[in-house]
Amino acid sequence: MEIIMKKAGFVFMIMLSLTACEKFEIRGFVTAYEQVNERFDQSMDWNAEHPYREIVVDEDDYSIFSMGDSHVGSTRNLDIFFNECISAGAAAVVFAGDFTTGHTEDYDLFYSHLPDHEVLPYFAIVGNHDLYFDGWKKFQQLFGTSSYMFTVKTPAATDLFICLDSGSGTLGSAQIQWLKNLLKEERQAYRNCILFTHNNLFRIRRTFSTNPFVEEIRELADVCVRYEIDMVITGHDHQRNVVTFGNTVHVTMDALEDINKDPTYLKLNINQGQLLYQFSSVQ
Amino acid sequence: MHTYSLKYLLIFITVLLLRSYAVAQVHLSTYIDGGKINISDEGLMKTSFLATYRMNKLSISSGGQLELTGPSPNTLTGLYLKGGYGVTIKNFPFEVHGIFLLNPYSEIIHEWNIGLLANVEKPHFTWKLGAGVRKYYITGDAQDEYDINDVSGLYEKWNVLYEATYTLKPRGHIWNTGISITNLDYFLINQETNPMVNIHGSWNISTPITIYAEGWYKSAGTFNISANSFGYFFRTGLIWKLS
Repeated sequence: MEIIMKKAGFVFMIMLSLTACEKFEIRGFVTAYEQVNERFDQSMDWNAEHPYREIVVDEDDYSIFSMGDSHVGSTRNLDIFFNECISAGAAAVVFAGDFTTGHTEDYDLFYSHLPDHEVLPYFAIVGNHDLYFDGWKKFQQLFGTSSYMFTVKTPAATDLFICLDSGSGTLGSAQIQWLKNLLKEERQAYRNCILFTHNNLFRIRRTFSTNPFVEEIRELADVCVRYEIDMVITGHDHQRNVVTFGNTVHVTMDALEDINKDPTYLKLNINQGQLLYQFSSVQ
Repeated sequence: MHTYSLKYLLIFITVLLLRSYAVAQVHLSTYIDGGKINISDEGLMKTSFLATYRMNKLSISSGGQLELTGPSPNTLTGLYLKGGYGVTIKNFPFEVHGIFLLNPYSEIIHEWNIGLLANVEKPHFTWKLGAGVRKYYITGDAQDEYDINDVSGLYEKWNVLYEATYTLKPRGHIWNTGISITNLDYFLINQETNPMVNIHGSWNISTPITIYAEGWYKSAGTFNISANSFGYFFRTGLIWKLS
């Protein structure tokens, strides 16, 4: 009995320390501040007043840069990343979630380091860490939406990019239906189609990071084949991984956070219509 | 094979089956699920049929699942096969289960799982622990339709399979109730990071027939520490024991 009590006390102390931790909230194991369907509805309300953005580039070849899991806090790698985006002339940049810890001051710090939107168009998706400490409200205040599309128009063709909210480990029924409707109506009008979201669809390495439920993955895998999605780009797992399933390449990015030993970001180069990707180290 | 050898083999198997019938048990089970999961606004209703043949230390189960309403365009959404064998090591009895599960989700995506589990049963507790591998694959018709030449299948890394069940009354009591946490169901194997919780109750209404009911809750993103409800369903069914 004494041993059981000691073990129970140890578990309690761990839970207490997690509660007090600046990175986690123990309540999140049971429930988040809001459900994904609520966030999706709020994203759609914002989208209704802010039409999707079309980026027009002068040349057929262009690049999109993406990073995930910067977990600001500190901004050393983030600043290097932005500088390299600008110097390379990226058409746009996508933050694939967990770019903050969810604290308001970290959102403010991240936002203060962002380049001018006219110099470097940026698109943000919420990750699970961005939702901690009631972070969605601040995310929405700064970025408005986490479920949306944007396009890049070249002289030759237009590519479709879709950003999805999976911060709570599920896209939710409303967002999945929206995605399916969008692809059904719009996919044929575009050359390439790339999805960005935070959570990884497949478990392609041993990891404790969470994927959507199997029932949701089946549905999303079906959507990827049916609508000929070229690439799905995610973060979350902090370790790069690439796997091809059907005609879709699933890319998991490294974490960009400063404490990562080998932080990288993703360069997505569209050359003569072909999608090429490259992980670039932050030196 | 020589005709005489074949004849003796058939006689041997027949005798073995007749002998085993005296000690064998057959369980037939059917249940219906009703609920909702967070990939569709449509409600979910499924029915399943299971049969278990148990002979001494050996057991074999198989079953099928039909989706009556739900997100899958297919009606047959699950096939299940399980073999079990009782083992005792140093006075510690347990069963080893091998599982094969096929989920023909749509005309495009199918999934199969294989797994190996140790099953320990105590009067009030059931523990299951093992490992499994999952493969998603694109059907041949879909490969042709969508011009998929190379990678039509995807293996996920091995996955821990688990179940912990506590029941209020000891095993075999005329009625019972309990709670489980698991990533396993008959026709679903979740990732280890997506546990499901169920509460259940059963009542042995007559010698061969037991009715049971279960309530299941699925929480997405628990290990994201940003949990959302993924879904719930209620199950009710009966088990008919033929001896």
